[in-house]
Amino acid sequence: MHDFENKIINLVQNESSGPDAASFILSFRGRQQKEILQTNRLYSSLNALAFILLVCVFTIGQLDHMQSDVEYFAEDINTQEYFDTDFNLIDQAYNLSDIETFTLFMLDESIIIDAEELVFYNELYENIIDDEVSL
Amino acid sequence: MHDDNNLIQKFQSGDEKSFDKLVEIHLHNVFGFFLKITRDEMVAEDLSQDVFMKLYKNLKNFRHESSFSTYLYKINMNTANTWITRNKWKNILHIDQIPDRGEIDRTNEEEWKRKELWDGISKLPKKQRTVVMLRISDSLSYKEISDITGMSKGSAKVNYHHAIKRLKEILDDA
Repeated sequence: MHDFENKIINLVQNESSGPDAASFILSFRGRQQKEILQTNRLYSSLNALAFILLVCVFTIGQLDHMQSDVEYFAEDINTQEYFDTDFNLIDQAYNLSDIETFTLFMLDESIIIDAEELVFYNELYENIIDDEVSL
Repeated sequence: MHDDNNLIQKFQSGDEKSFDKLVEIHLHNVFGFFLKITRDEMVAEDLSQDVFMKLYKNLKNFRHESSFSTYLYKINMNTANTWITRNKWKNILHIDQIPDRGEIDRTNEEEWKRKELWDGISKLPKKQRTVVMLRISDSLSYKEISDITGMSKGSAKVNYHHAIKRLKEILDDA
């Protein structure tokens, strides 16, 4: 057993003088600086990630308060009442009884559209204009 | 030893140059320890740097309860164990690339034996591996080994005995 121990002890011995202390310390300090930079970079990335997550959470929080169902004014009011409001004066030359749901819908979507145009679209929708039907 | 404590105290109070002095004093031993294990100067230097990096990070908390050399040996042993485990897995993963003994040049016989020895050591259980590494690489006494590893002197002896027996079996089989 002792022979074997001596054999393996001799086997692991080496004669290297080792690296130069000054250059070792220099490369050690370089590696240290590199590690500090890497750590700082990691912290910056984590901070950026945390900021993005925070913005996401706030955005999602605000989206929660939005009404998901669009409620149309026209659904709760009859045609006559709707066109009697100050904002929706329609040309009296048109017969209001002919104006159907589509017109009300268009008015709800955008009140900027000209009333005459709305009546025209409505008639188109109802297939009243014969020459446009072919389109 | 006395120098070590002075340098550590200076380093703990913010003197960076003291750490460089500590490196200068202990570099040869640390590097030698790893060179015996790895047989590769580059790897030994890398591992030595790992050790001093760990030392730099933890030395501020050193409480002088044990001697500095014991503390440094503990770091050496942990680093060596990590390297051996990592290397063992690397060898397992590249098992097909290890050349057959018959292909080795006779002039490299010594190198081959060393490789087999360290392969054998890497196969030992951690406690046995630790004891045998400290004993054969730095010829430490059982008392010193028990201080470093925290096991009793008797346990260190038993572990060493089992390790040598197992190594003999491994190397005789090879």
